[in-house]
Amino acid sequence: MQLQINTKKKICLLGSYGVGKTSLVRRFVHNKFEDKYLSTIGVNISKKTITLKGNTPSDLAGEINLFIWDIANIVKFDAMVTNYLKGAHGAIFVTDLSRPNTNTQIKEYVKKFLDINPDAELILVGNKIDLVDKETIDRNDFLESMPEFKDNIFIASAKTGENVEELFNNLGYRLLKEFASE
Amino acid sequence: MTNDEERSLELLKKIFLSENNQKIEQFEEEIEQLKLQLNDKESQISNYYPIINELLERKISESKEEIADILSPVMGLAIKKQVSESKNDIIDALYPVIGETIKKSISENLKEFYTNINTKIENALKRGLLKKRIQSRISGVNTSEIILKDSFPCYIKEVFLIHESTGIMISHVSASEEDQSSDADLISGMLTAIKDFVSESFKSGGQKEQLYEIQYGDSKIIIERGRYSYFAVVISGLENSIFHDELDNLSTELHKKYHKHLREFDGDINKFIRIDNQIRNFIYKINNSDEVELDEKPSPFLAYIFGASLILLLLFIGIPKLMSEFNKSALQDEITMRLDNINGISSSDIIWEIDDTILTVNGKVNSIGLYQSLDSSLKTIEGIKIIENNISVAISKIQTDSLEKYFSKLSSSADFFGASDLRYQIVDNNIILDGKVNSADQKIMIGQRLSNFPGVFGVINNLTTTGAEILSNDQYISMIKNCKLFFDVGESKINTSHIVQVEKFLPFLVNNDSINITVIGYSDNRGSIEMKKLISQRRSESVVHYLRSRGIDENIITNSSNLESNELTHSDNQSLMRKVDFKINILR
Repeated sequence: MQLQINTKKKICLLGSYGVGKTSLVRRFVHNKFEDKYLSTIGVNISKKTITLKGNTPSDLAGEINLFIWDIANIVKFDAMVTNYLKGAHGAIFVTDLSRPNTNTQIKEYVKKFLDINPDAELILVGNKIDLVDKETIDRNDFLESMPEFKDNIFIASAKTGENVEELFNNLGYRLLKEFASE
Repeated sequence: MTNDEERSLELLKKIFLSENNQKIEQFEEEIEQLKLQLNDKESQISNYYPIINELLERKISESKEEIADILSPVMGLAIKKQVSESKNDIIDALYPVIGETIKKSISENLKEFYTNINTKIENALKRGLLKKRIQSRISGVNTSEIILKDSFPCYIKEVFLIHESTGIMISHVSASEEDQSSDADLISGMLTAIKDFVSESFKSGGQKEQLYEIQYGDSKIIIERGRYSYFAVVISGLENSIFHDELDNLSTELHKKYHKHLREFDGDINKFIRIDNQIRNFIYKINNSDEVELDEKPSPFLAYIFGASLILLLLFIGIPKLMSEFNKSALQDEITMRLDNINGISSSDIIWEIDDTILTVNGKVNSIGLYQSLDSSLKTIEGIKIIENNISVAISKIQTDSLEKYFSKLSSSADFFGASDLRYQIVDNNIILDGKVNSADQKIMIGQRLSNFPGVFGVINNLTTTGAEILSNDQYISMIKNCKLFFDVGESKINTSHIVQVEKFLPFLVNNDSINITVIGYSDNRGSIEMKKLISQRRSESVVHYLRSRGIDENIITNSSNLESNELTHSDNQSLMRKVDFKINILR
């Protein structure tokens, strides 16, 4: 039997400054990209509805409304950041493939995020694939360094749009699978 | 020619040409004058002004656009140049004109404002000045304040119900389409972020400050916080006590009815569909109330007279009706609570109504166990004589993956501590349950929970009980000292999942007359001292009542409440403060 759903899910975007969190959201929500860098202050919230036509892994139909909390570069995990993260159903951790040092903070971000939301679904995104030679990117490197993401790693580009929709949809569907089993 | 001839010729010239010469001189004079006139611009302007003026008027009236096209570039450039070259001159020139215009505009608007205020106040006075004076006397609030509130009535534009931690909008209702915000979902998220920002950024005396309202234009957003969600109400005018009372009631009612869904919020807003109607009623009540309520407490003397009169009136006329209303409200609360306490069902899944002592229940459940739980729970409600149970059971196939997860969660939960080798099989929508548990209570409880799972027709409960462990006196004493029973907000009823803890040391209390236990109730650190004292007392009484019902001698139980220790506890652990614990006194 096909289940009709209408649900809302909160997801957070985390990562160092300038990795392209806001650009990924802009590409996914508005299908736009700007080269100009504008630092996010505090938090920026966007909404995007994914319509399901019964072709999802759980055979669900209806709508999932994603509320995307794009959180500014986290200097310290203080009470304010904790408040922004609480209640999240999922998170997207973003690194910049052209700046390998942006990977280093991800482990800490994941730990803190899971302390607040232990049941949340996670995704790791290597952004800016358009700036590096694709051949040099080994997905397994990511996997080995961050086993907590299992197979949920995406190589994407907010500039070209490559894999952006796929990564958000993947997270959306995984949140639904959880919903269907409740 | 001789001299004479020359003279004659001159004479003849004079005679014949003198007139011409005069004319020539006159012409020369006129030419000089014309030259002077041409060089004199002033006189030229006065000469040509009427003609040019007439020509221009004619041309403009014939082809305005053509003239504008010709002049605008020139004029524009000229004005721009003039402005950039002599700003100060232009300011000086325009200042008196603009100043006057602004003055005039302000004075006209003020006049309109005064007129509006006067009209409103006159209207307010017309609507019962005497009544307002009486209200003022009773309440101790200035008459002018009452009139002012009446003059600017509270109007609710829209209401948002927002989940506290996620910032997700659960419900949004507006008074009219004009008042509706364009993207209520995003507003809800941002309001939550702003609210969190305020509470984390601003502190007073070490305590977090909360955001209560945001003012913009002639409207404001009032924030009413609940435990798991909050209301953001957009209003214009001045809010009065009806507004606050009704909002408080709405918040309490929703939290009471939906606390389970709000606490375990998973983003599924279909569970809250009926909230819209309650919010709509709230908006209607406020936007259509033309009575002014009083914000302040009544002044003692008049309030006592008023109170005494009311009591007399109640004694003779209103008591039966009031009691009936009170009972009805208590019954409604009891039914909602009973429905919420059944795992797998919520008060919003079932539609019910009470007519005197007849309860009619409609809806659908997806397991026999749920149906039985519902039926037996409703049957034991005091005050209900007849139940018309129209609940239907729609049994679907058991979702094995979901059941596996549910069972794994269930068997590892604290309620079934000590259980071992728990396993199950599914046979034709029935569950066969095997394994070992600590007590008969555990056996019943696990069977009950599984029978409520969607699709389950029945549970064959083959669980065996291992019996109570034999412990030393010191172990029992330590168990009692460490035992803590926690309570939900505002609740004093002992949570069934905690009974197992108490049951473990009951044999020790029954068989031991050398000890005395004090049952101590606590509240969290919110609310007034009176309220905290009352709820702490009720919690300890509830546990004492349970112990007595299980055969514990009255002489060995004392109940007490403790307020001071909680005052010292950190405010983040509110849920850990709402508890009952035990103190042991060895008598000999």
